[in-house]
Amino acid sequence: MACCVAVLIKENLIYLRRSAEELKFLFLIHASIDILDDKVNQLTKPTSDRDARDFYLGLLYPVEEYKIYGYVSSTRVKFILIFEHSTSISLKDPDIKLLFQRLHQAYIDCISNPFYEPNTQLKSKRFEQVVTSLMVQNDPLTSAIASSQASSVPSTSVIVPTAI
Amino acid sequence: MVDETLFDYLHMSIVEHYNNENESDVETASAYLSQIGYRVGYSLSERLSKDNARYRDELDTVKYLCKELWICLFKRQVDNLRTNHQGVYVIHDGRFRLLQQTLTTMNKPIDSNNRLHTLYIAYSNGLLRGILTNMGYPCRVTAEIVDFGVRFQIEVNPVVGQK
Repeated sequence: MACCVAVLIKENLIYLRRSAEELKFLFLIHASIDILDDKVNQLTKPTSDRDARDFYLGLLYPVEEYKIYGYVSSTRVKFILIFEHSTSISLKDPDIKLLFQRLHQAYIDCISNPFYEPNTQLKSKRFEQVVTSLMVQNDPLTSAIASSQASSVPSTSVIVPTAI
Repeated sequence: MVDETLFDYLHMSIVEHYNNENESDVETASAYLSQIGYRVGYSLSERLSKDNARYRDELDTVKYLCKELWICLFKRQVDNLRTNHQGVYVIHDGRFRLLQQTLTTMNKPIDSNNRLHTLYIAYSNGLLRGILTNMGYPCRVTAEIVDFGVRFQIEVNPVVGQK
């Protein structure tokens, strides 16, 4: 599913997991920090209405074969998910938002651990599990969906995208 | 109700512990307690702010702290919030929960010079500091005991306060 998951505090990368050891993911992440900051600043302007202040910031930008999505919590922790173009066709905004919310919850559980030192690398087994579920989750299924363009997924998957 | 009581007992014994350990030194004991509070506030703010919308600015954040977080932390709203709109906020709580216990057990009015009393607000002091720092506003918090309540003075540092 997602081919890269990253968590940042300010500009510090505290968690990174990618499907392949490729440098370009790092470039993409760093390029998206500015866009995230820009979006947050726009949303927190006094003129914006309350509904617009969602944590989920939507598609940041598409590059050749990837789509990059962002999410910033009110404590300014940045979450970035990168999808391959082919798999993201079947994904709709609410589904991705759901993925981010699970990631956020896992992050909260992780930093609530009294043995975790703030602003250091995340090394939690449970967090790894959640990330794994975001990344490897039913690869054959997503490709099947991508080919058939259907939006329903069997109930065995962890995240059930709602048929819209 | 039960969890509140348990927390009160825990808080009392932690204060007691640091008070005994640093018999002569209120400063050190306060610093330890404040550190504990900071760490708790840091994690707690992350968890509690999850379901709310993003905060627009500093004032919005402090308002949220006074209205919603205060109820969560101390089971009541603050009595008074004042600001000079330049990064200084004064929060007044007329019946501060963590002090009420000491008040009833000691059965005498709170005296701001009593060293034990200052220890009882050190934890909350750090708690506020942790919450605001994690929300993106590093600050200095000082607290003083007024009559039966506490007055927290928060100075947000605008230079480091970005992002």
